[in-house]
Amino acid sequence: MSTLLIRLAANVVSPIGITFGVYLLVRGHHSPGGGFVAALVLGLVVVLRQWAFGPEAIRGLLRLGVGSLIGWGLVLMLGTGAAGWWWGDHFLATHTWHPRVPVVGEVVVSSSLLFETGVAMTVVAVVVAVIAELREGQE
Amino acid sequence: MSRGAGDVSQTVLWSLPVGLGLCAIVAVPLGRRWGAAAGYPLGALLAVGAAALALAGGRALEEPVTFSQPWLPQLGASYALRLDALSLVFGLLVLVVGALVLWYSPRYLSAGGHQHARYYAAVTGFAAAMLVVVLADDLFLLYAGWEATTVASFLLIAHEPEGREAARRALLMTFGGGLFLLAAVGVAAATVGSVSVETLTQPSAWPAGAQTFLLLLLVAAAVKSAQLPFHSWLPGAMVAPTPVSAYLHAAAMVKAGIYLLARFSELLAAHPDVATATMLLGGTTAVFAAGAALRRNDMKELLAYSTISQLGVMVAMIGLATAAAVAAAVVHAIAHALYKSGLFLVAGAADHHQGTRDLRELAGVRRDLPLASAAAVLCAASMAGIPPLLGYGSKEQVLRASIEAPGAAAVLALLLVSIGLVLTVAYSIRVAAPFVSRPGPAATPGHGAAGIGMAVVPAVLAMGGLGLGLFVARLTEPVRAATLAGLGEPLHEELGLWHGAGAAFWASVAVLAAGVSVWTFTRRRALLALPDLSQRALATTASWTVRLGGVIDRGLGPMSRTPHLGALVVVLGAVLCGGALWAWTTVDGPTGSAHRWVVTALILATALALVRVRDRLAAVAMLAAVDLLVATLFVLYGGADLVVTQVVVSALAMTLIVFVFRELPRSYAEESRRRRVTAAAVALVVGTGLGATAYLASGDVLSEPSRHYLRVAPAEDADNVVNAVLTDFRALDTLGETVVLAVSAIGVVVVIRSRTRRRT
Repeated sequence: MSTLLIRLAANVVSPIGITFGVYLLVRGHHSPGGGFVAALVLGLVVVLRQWAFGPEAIRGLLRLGVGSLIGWGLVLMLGTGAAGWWWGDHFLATHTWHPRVPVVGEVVVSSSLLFETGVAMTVVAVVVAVIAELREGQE
Repeated sequence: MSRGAGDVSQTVLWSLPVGLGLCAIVAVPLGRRWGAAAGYPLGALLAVGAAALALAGGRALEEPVTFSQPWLPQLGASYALRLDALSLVFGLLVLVVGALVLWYSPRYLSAGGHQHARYYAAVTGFAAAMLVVVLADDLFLLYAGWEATTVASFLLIAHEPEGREAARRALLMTFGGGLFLLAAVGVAAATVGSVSVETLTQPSAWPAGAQTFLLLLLVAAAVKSAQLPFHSWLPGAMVAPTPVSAYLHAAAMVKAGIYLLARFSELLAAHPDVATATMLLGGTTAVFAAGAALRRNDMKELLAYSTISQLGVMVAMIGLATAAAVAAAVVHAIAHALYKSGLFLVAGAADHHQGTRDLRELAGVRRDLPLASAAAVLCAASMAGIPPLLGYGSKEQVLRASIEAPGAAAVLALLLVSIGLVLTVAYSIRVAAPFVSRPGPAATPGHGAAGIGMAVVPAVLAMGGLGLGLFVARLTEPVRAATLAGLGEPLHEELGLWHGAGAAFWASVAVLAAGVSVWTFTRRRALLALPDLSQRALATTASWTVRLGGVIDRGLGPMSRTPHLGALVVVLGAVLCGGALWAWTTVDGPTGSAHRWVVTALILATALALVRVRDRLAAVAMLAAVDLLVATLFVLYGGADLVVTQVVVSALAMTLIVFVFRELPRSYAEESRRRRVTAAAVALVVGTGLGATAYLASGDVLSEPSRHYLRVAPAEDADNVVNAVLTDFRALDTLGETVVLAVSAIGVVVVIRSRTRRRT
């Protein structure tokens, strides 16, 4: 499955894909995107890399601890929910900040970004774990 | 200053469960570093908690202390706590017995290899959960604490490897009972519109009657407190370490059902039919369990059935629903916690010493364990109801309440409870006998593995029973307040050891005499005890379930998945078809532009080609083509989020399919004509149903929730409504879905890994 063409394509597409995924995550509240789609795009980048470079590409990720992101993503979501008691009045209350960034001007940041990051972490870890397991099973 | 004192009480109130929860987390590193000795500091923490509760509770006897923090205002759920006399009594029971058990544990655990960190974390976590149950003023919170105790119990029963089976059974039964409690919460929320315990205990909140609610509560309490016919999990749970049996399955967890019924006793009193059912349930349990206890040789099993019987007496008293009866239940709960945990702990000491728990082989242990034997005899005497121990005071109160209560139901209650008490005396003598008798001629010397250390705590519990018994009049004030809190009516008389030679006194004497004679009778003819109906009923139920399972298994045919899945899918399709047909006249479909019809035609053509193609990879490619055409349709509808999601999900799905197809042959196999026709029919039914539903659902008129969200979203600085709905308005749903995703991923990984392991 691994040819020069696909290896080249993977090396070119990976940075674009990762950037696109992060962009979808951050802009989710204001334009099409969101945590789930961002995670799927990042997952697709991982899939492409393992087609090109074999299961070693994913094993490296798992050694880094991507698998434990399943739990950490949930912790982040629950933490954001608990923080809702602090800046709101109920669990999972949201809050928006309007910080002034020097060049850009006023930026709108919502606490749901944290929530979405949690979703993204969990879903990325899910995709990586399942694909890695399938690949290992086939070796 | 009253306001200052109130604030302190409130702080104590909400910090106690939270603090104990933190203790449970701290117990893990503590247990790893100090091993078995971690029990001492943890017990000290629980003792401090008990002291704090007692100090804060002094105020609570007149005026309840409350604390509330809203959690989900839309559902009316809040973290609401309430400390009144009833919660105080049960809460102190939980914390005091917990501290004592934790102080006993180091000596017990160090005699064998155990996993101390997990044990201590589970015991402390259980104490926290049980405290939440008795302090909760919100039914959701109560349910959460209820199920947390179930989980803690499971972890503790499964502590030994041979306890896995019993733990699983106990978990299934008690979790099933918890579902009845959840159903009761649902009924309350739907009928009354509130889940606040304080509101729900008033009969005035239930104008149409609360029978369903009370019956659901009764089942939940019966399962938790091991009443007939849900009692079988408790004797099985005796494989747990002895301190666990003493704490959870004698003093604390099984009392949760009693607390629940006592809390709602005012509502119960307003529904005499449910109350009578409660009384009958408790009474029959008391009789049959006591009979079963009499036949047991293993000390822990005997004590387990004895617990079931005593809980039956308490349930029967609450079912009588008079002030004297509810007070009797409360006092009996206190007395039972003290003597039963004491007896269990002595059983543990004897087990370590003699290596057996069989009552026939324990004779003579008095010589080596004098203090423990004395404690056992005192506790057994309290169980039999011998003055001046607390057990006598509670037994007399039980009898007095049964005699004085009006109605025919009360006569039946008196009869059942009396028989139960007579049998109680008999098995109490049976339990105490080995600790009094001298060693027989063939007695084997003990291992000496139990020192004086293990005897201290049971001795303290026994002395507690004696002390509280002597000063039982001091208990009147809290018990009166507790009865008022639960039943709405205070106890009218004083508690005491001597009320004059009235009917209750002579009844006590008669019970004692009858019990002694039953014991001498059964000692000679051991087979003449009451038949062990409970065990036989359980065995019959088990064999019937196996037979029923065999019938279903044969009816479902071979192991192929198709008939099972196919039936489900066809039913779904038929329902959708029917629904679409019904809605066809009332709902408008979308207006079709030329572009949309072209794309739809392309989808149809590709799908038809897909069905005919024989090569697997070509089929995958065409499936991907269909997905992309659907995405184009989304573009034409203007659903940008859907387009991105559809494309990305399609790519991932194709990857997974290709992974699987690599293991299969290149072409599809030939299928029989009959199978092709059946498959086509099923596909037509389901496809038409789904398609018609999608057609009707994508009309150009927006539904009400969609319009609401479109209105509200800009106020939250959100321009992407779909995203705002997912992460802002309905974030709780997203949280739940993500959890499900995480769990299924773990499941997939485990399944694949176990498959490869089996292959190699």
